[in-house]
Amino acid sequence: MWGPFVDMLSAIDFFILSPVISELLRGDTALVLKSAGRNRKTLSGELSICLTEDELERTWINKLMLLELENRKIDTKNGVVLIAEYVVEFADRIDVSLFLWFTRQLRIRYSSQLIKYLNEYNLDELFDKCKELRAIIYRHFGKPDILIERFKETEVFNFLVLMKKF
Amino acid sequence: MERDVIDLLRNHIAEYINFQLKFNRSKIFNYKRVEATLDDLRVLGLVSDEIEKSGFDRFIVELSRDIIFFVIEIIYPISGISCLYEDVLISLLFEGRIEDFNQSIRRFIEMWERKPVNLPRSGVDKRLAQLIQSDSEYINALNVVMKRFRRYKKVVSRPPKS
Repeated sequence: MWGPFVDMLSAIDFFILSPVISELLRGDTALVLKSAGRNRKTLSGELSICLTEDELERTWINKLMLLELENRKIDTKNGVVLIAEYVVEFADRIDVSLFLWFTRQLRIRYSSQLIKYLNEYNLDELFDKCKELRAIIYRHFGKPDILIERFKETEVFNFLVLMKKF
Repeated sequence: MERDVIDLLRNHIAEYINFQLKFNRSKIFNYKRVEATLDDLRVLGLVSDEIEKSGFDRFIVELSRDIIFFVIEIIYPISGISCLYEDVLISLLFEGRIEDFNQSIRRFIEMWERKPVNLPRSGVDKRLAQLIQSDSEYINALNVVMKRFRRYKKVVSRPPKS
């Protein structure tokens, strides 16, 4: 049912990453693919994505990640940056994992959390959420890293520039 | 100050529930999915407009236990509604609904004992696979993969198992 993928989660993660994977593999594949043994190649990386308050709700990421750290509710009004980390392993089957990180404290595999809610009444709705996340990830692909851009607005960055350390 | 009181109440409630579960020799699990009626949700103090308007009467809820706290989550047929159970109970105290508070805990403990159920998913995975496989971005990416790794061509062109 899931074609060349090891399981349903891999197929969903591939679906979410499909435009990114297409672009990466269309380029110089030697640069992006790493050998991980005989007949085994991996493609991995991460990119910062920024979601607006509305997008956090529409994708359910606010619910799935329970965006709270030690009782501090995360302020979403300026948009929240998450790091999308992906690992695609091409072996006998294709194994894809997509994780979303908030700092290094909160991490979810979006597909596995979302699939927990899948039923006949909300299939289309959940499918649309995956599409929404896919569009958000692709929107940030190949763009300057949003987290670095935010860092550049800080005094620390100005200081580092002044000290010629950045 | 209020925050401290709430934390104190949360801890006491969790302690009480844990004690009751141990007293009943209930099996301690991290999570369990059980069937619940609209009445169960009402007694627990969980019914919202969204649940009322859904028109459903039977639900599957996931009861789970963090280190101390208890979480109730509706996962079927509507989903995405979850709450920290201690906070639901505390809100009943805020509203002065003492008897509802007691009834809610009794029902929660009774629900904890219910037989676990599985999520009805017949055919949904297959329909999800069809949706994904009819998406043009997905097809494009898969074509790129198949061009790069010819071995997957065979797998993809093989008719799916019914």
